[in-house]
Amino acid sequence: MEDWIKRVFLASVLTLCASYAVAEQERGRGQAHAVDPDIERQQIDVDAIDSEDFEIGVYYGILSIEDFGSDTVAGIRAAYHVTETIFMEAAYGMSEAGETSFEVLSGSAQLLTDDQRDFNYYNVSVGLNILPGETFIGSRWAFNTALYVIGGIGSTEFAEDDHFTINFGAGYRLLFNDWFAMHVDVRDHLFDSDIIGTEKTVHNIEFTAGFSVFF
Amino acid sequence: MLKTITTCLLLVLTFQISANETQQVQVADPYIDLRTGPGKGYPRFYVAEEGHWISLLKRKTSWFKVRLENGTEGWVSDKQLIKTLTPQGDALDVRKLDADSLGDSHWAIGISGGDFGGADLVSLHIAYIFTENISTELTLSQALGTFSNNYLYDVSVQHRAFPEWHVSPYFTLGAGQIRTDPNATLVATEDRTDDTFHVGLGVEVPLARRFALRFEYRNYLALTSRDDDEEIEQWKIGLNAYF
Repeated sequence: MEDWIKRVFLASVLTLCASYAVAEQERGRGQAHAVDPDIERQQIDVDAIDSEDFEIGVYYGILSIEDFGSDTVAGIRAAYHVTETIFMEAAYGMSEAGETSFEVLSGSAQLLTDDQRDFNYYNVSVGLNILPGETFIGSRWAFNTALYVIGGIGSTEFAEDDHFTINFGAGYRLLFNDWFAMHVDVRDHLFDSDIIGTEKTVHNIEFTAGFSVFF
Repeated sequence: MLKTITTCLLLVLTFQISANETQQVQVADPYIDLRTGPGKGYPRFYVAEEGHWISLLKRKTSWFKVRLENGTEGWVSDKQLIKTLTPQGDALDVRKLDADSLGDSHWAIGISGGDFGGADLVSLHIAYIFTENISTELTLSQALGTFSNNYLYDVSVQHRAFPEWHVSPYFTLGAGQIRTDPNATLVATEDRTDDTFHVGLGVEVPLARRFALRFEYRNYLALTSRDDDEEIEQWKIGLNAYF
């Protein structure tokens, strides 16, 4: 009989202890939960978000060199997009001048040597994206586009002399996705030259197409 | 070869892991607009309502590409994003995008043009910003004159005494080299390279977010091998972008 009472008493004590322990544990967990946000606070780190403000690309086209005919031009360009409207660009292009009509007609007279016909330029420019929009190709494809105007200064090496050069023009950028774009660009490169005797401002119109990537 | 492939694979994996770590915010405004491109000119095509969770995928200038829970992707301006909340309900910290704050930018690039002792100047620079007062700058320039071309490179330290001013003046001090190439049409004189020192003053006028117009004057001292050192004045106007 005593054993039976002892057993019931012990069982009750154990049950009480266990339920107290569980309650304590739960209370503890509740308290831990209340302070959790302090420990696991998550901040948005703007720097950790991938930004794509830089652009680098290549282009190829035709450059009409005043008095010296038209020839192919190839170049590289790098740009930094400051805002949705403004970007800064640096470009380097290479071409080669042909012959003047005087050289062609006279037959043998040469105004410039072969080395002097190298036409290399670099420039730094500022561009403004105007008329942003979308181009639709068929019913399934829509591409972001922008028409931009651009102008800047630089230097042109032609006939073994460097000439301070102003450039201005306009272009059209079509983005295939967020980071890959196609460009079509028309630019005038102006500088003062005395290569054919008298000093004058020459216009060199350039028409190019190219590709670029944003990173 | 195997090593290259492994490296490439590792790079791709790392890229994917980092690409997957997108951050999420909850829309706290009544709604935010999603546009088809990163600019005001692109059309709105979707509206995310208050309480929706959006993932921030990437940024272009001041526009964020976001993905909604239903998979819709579009571009949101930072102005609208400022009004959204982080997962804990704190206001999103976008101080870095604040219009007047340049304090969080560490780099700047700029282009400028002007006059260098009577010659036309074209100039490109990159700057590292240590504090809002002190920065250092590397400048590459070409001055195209009637009789010669000058190529300059300079390293300079700049001090902004009043960075909190809207129009901020600065002082610059530096050293570099100048190379002088006489023009081909002149009687051949030798190319020469001289060391230079310069002091200067400039002022920056903010034009847009992280973008400023800059005027600068520098007085160069070229340490020539001739009897007298040469003093050259440089004036330039340019644009400076912080990133």
